[in-house]
Amino acid sequence: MKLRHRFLRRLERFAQPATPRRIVLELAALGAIHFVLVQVLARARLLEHLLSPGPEARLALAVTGFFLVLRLFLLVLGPGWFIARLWLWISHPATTLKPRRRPLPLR
Amino acid sequence: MSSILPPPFTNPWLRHAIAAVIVFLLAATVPRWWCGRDAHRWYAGDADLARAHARHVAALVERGVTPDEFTAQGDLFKNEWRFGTYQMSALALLQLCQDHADWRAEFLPVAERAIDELLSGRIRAFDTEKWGEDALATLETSDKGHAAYLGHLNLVLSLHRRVVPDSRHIALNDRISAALVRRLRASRHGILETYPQEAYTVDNAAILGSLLLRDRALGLPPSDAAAAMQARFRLAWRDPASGLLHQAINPRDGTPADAARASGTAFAAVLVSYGDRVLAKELYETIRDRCAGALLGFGYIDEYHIGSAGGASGSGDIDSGPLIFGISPSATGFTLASARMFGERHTFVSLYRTTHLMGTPTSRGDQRLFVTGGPLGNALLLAMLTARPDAP
Repeated sequence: MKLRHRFLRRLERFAQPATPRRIVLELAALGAIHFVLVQVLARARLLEHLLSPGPEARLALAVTGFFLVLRLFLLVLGPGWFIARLWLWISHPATTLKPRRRPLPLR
Repeated sequence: MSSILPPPFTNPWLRHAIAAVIVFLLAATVPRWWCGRDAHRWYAGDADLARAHARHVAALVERGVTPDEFTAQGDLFKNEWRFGTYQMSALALLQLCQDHADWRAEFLPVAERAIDELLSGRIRAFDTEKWGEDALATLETSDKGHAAYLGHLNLVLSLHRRVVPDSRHIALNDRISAALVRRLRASRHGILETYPQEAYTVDNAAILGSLLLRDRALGLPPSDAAAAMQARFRLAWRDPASGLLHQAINPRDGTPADAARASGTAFAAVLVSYGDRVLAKELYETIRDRCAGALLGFGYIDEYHIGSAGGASGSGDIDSGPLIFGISPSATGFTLASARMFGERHTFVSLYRTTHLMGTPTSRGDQRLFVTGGPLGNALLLAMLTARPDAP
């Protein structure tokens, strides 16, 4: 148990949690991709491809599949994923609210 | 190292366990709330929501739907879907005109435009091509089924007659109904063919709904043909193990020609409900009890029941949509209507959450649409989401 604990501690030193800025940026990027795909799919005909897939519909099906997986992730797991990552950052031993000291300029 | 939190919370096991609990708790609460916000409004018949969606469907009808808008493999399916789009648009808009008398000025002309399209030669060409004769020109002379075209068209005409008592389609409604009754009486197994040697319970459900609705509009008791068909829907065409309707019946010997499936049963329940709420409720309760499920508050309908004859399974077809873990998108959408009709709010809300998740509703100007729906999906969902708790 103690060994495993030390292993995790060591692992965490290498795997620093994402910063809040990165977490927000990643979520915003996924949201933007989702928004663009909604606009694309609003103009493309999608249900018909799903109901009657054919050999020439592979690209449409791939885009559809990607969109639906992304939407599932964003709506179902997204909120928990966002808050859990913030929690992991807050609770990480290396996280501190104290401002970091800037390196002294070289003379 | 100096964390923000006290030492017990910086324990790596505890941190990750709490993260997992956060993900689970939020996945179990936030999405169901977010995707279910509109469900209660649809269930309660929210006028703003229904009107915005109806405006989108009306715009589709006004601009006209072409076969090129559908991506189905083969012209037959493309033309069937064009027919289905006008049929569902007309049904949905007529339902709304019944519910909201003040909307008639806006939507009744559009519903009548959809009916005119249904009556046009180009829309019924798919049926004419398969049968080698025009369904409307041979009403009194032919004994061929034309079950899909005549059944679904007659349902719209019967509803139009109910909404507009002096409907200009009364004579045609009477002629089609008489032809269907005559052909049903002559049919050995009480089922009319959609195409030569192909008979589907769904299309016969449209025939039954249309005949019963017309009889009610005229204050008549159900005809003997309709009463015999009601009995067949209760006994002969249902799988004894699951209670679901067989998707297809062999017209030569009256035996099942396809498995008992939820997509056909759910759609048949909707179509029959226009004329027979009791039978529709029996079909709906079978689906609810045998095929309905939910995960994290998101409802779904399985296409096959485990006790279905032959233990059928598969990847889905044009009726069910693509099956993902056996879940049928079509059956899930159709069951929304029955859940609303029969006052099952919980089922309606859970099924709507899934519809919201996969359908991606969005607003555009004064219109509202489901992005992944396309013309047929949007017309169909409007009809399902506005299905009336009171018999038409």
